Amino acid sequence: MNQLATEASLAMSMENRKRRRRGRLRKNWHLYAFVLPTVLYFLVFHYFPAYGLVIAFKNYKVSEGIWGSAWTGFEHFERFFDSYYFWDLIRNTMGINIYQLALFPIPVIVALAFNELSNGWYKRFLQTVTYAPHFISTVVICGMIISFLNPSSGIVNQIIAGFGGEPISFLTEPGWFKTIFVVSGEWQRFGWGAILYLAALAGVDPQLHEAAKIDGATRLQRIRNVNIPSIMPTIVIMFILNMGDFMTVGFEKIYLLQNELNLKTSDVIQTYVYRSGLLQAQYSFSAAIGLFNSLINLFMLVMANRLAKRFSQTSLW
Amino acid sequence: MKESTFDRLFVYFNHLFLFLLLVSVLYPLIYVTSASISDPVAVNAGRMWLFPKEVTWEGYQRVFRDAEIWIGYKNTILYTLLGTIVNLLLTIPCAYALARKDFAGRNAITLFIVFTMFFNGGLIPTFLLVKSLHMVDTVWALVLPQAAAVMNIIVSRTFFQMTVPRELEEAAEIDGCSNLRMFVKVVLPISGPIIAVMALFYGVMHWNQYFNAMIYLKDRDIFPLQLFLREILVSSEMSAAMQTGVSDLEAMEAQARIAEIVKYSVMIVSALPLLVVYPFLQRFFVKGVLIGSLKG
Amino acid sequence: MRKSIIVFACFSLLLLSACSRSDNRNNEPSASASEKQTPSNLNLTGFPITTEKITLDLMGEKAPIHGPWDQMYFFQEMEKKTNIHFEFDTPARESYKERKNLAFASGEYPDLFFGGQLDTADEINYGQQGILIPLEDLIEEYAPNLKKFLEENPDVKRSITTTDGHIYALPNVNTVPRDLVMKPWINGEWLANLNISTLPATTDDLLELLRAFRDGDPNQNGEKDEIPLSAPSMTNLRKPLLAAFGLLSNSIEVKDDKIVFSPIESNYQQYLKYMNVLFNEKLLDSELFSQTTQQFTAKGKSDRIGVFVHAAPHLVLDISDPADNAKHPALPVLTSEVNSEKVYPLNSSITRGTFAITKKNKYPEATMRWVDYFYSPEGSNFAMVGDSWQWKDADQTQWEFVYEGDNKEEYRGKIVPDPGLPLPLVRDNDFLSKEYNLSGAYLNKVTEEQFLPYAQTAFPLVYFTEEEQDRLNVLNADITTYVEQMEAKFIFGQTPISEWDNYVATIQKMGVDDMISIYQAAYDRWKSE
Repeated sequence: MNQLATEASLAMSMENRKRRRRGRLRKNWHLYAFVLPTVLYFLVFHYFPAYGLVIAFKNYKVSEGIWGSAWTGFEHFERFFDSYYFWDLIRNTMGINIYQLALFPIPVIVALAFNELSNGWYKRFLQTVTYAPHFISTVVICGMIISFLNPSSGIVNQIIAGFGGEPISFLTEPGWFKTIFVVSGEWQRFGWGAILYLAALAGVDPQLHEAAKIDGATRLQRIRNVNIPSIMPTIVIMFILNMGDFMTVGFEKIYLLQNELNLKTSDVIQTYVYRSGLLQAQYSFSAAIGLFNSLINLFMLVMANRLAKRFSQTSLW
Repeated sequence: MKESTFDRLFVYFNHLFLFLLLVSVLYPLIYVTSASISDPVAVNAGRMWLFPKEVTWEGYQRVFRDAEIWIGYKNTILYTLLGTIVNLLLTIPCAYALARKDFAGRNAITLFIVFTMFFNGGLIPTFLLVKSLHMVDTVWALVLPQAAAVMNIIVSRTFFQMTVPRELEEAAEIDGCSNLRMFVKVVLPISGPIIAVMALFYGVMHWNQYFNAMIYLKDRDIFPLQLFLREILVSSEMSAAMQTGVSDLEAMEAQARIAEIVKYSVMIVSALPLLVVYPFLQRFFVKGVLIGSLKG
Repeated sequence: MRKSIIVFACFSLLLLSACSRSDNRNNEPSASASEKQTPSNLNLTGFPITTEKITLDLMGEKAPIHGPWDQMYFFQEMEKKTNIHFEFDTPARESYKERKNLAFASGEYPDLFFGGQLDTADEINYGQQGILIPLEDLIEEYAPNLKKFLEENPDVKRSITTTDGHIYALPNVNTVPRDLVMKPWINGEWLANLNISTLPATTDDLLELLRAFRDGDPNQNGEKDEIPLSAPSMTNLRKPLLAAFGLLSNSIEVKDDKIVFSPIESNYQQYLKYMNVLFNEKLLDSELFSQTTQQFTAKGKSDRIGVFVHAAPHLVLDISDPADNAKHPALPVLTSEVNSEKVYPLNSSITRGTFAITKKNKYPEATMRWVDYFYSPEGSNFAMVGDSWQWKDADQTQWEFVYEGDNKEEYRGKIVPDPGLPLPLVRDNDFLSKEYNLSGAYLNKVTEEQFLPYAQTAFPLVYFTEEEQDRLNVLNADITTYVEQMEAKFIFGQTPISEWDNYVATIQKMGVDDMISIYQAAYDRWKSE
């Protein structure tokens, strides 16, 4: 009797679920229409040209075309792994990215701090000014870094000298390179990076704040218990996406700050590819290294996503 | 409600923190501005460190004397507007659909999109594609190959997941409201912040974009601003390696001199419109927006 | 349309029959005869080149100093003169290489490249594929000026003939003396201030001079801010200093028909030791590796530099009148304890790959006639200065460039494509030396008297086979980087010179012997041609 009832209800629920799914499809066709153009875009402009990836396993010559060029198997990968600089490149590329990840919370903190200001001209001014460095071109940024850090005339060394210290030749000391690169990058980006979190904070339900105030929560407590949890999904998502860039370092800025004396710490995969390809257009070699990077990036992102799924409710999929 | 001592202290600290940030950012900005009207030799020798030295307006005069700059401005504004509209049309509805928990296949589609972050066929297949679509030397070569960005779709999706309350959707469903109507009447009105941010992200991307223009455009009448600016500027350090074959030292010298003079002014000319626009977008980030009122 | 072409073809055939009759009488087999037939629209001599206007697609690199090409006086006048009209595709320098590759990859290549910056791999690959057409026969028949030049200069011909015996691209040839060597200079005012009248002849003398510059306050500002020796980059600086140790390059060079890799030679070790002494004694610019060219120049303009390596003194020092260049002597070619023979590296006078014709071009003969003009003195000068010049005196010993605006080169860049871009032409030394130019004459004189007698090229312009090139790409990337990195570390003392053996061993492990044998093979081929 009991069993029968369960079976019946099971069958019913199965039937229900099926019906519901069919119903959902019918009901949600608008949603598919929302997605369709975007999916088409990715199909045409990203998936279709992906056949170009095969050149990583070929000796691609523009003159012979992608299909006509000779197969080389893993030769380009081996060449990269056998390079004298291989381990330096891996160490530096990862080192810079880990350093950057360590500074990941800065835009979040800045956004939370902005959010505490009352709206007015000062807030607007402050935000506009902190957002401005994002638009300084790499060439100019590097020119500024080089002149600010100049051992004799640079402002940084003048301050050091003012405190009685010895001037530091920042750009030729290998030990300083990563700090210079990462800190200047963060300086350029924190205002811009904060925008996203500000938008997320704009979505926080004011009633939550009202309720917390009535409970006598201080500002700091409200930040911790209301604001941060509300923007946590955005933070997690941004972190996961960052992990997907793990083997990527902006080429131009490194290249402009690099010199023979700091090469030991400044040489990254992207500058190596540039140098190797300088003589001839070595599309295959750069494609191979690109693929290598992507595989690591993909792995990092999948791992980050898995961790996020386990420890928070948010994840990419 | 009266603020507690702790809160007041917190506010002071917050102000101090932000003030220090302001100073750290303001100094280089003043430096750039001053450098744009200073003699390049004074800048490079380190004699100019805050206020302009040996003032000259030659940089700006040069930039604006060039008739092509205005063509570039016009084109860039057009491409930015058109490009951003296309971007928003492809990003916002898609992100909303992917945010809906009752949307079957959302994970598969998200994966499908995210996966494109990790490979690209390279320049040549993409060029051949754009060519076979007859978009070379047209506006579309700048708009369609960049019609959506993975990161922006994901970020928008997260926003919708957080801010559009389930009850709202359920209520709409019960009312027999179609998804399209609900998106337009309910979701869009509370999406001001994310639309503003996306418009900003995409807009800035288009504004600063030069690579695609460099690859796909031949006709100078449709060049965007950045292409003209890069032509004057061409970072002398980057092209140093190529200049070994150039024998004419005076031409090199003249070119380096122009690049130095306009280096800073070019940057201000191209970034100023973006700085001016920002405060207008900021009003969309104002706390609370409409959610409270909708719920209440 | 088609009818009119046929009518026109008959008409021009009639006109040209006088010229071609003698050829036709010999009557070779018909196939080659039809190839040899003169195209209908073409005039064999004089201008216009074609009787009716033709249009060709042209691709070339737009240098930063150029105005738009279609608005250049040069192209507008050439069109009027020759009846050849161009549709231009002129990507800017930073994207040119990419655009050129895409043009080939997509089959959208132009009818001709002018200022085309083709590299040797392009010439070989696209030449063998038939995309670039062989030019020897066209030169023979339609390019009298170039033909004559190549006959008189077999070395140039050798350097533009690829491994399969064809010429696929035409060169720029520049033998203006001042462009042939990168020279070291001494700040003449500092010499005067310190009452030094003898110039250094050996590396030891140079050391002494630099010490005097360091200690004697030669810029007389009471501060010890002098930088005795500097340069915008190591590329410049190492030229005179390596030469003092008998080396012409920091890579491959030819010694009695044998290829050597200089950075593992014992004289190179001596060079490193010497440079390290300069660094330790604070005679060498400590920002040598980290400064931008502009920061270097700014130091010069602030009168802080004593000896420097650059194209001309007025580009570094604060000299308003170029005639004052003559106040600053060149540092003589030095000798050292390990090298008593004076040598100096000579820049190549040939730039390859400036011009090519593709198989799409329906008028290769007319195109060849068009470009041949620039291998005549008249045409070459036209490409250099347009008609913006005039004789200064009745005897025509000096001429002057006439320009608007404040900078000559900038104006030149708006009217002709020469500034900043190697074009297919031979520079007319005779005419150029008559330019009323205060710095040019001095620079030429210094070069001719003090450097050219000792100048040699490190390695001639050769062509590598595809396999050789592929292997070199792999070898070069690591070896070059390593050599330059270690050079800096040895000089700045980050690596002690006692590490020399390890350094040599590492380079050998990177495959330098392979590299040497590839160069040797290419050199032997070149030599035997």
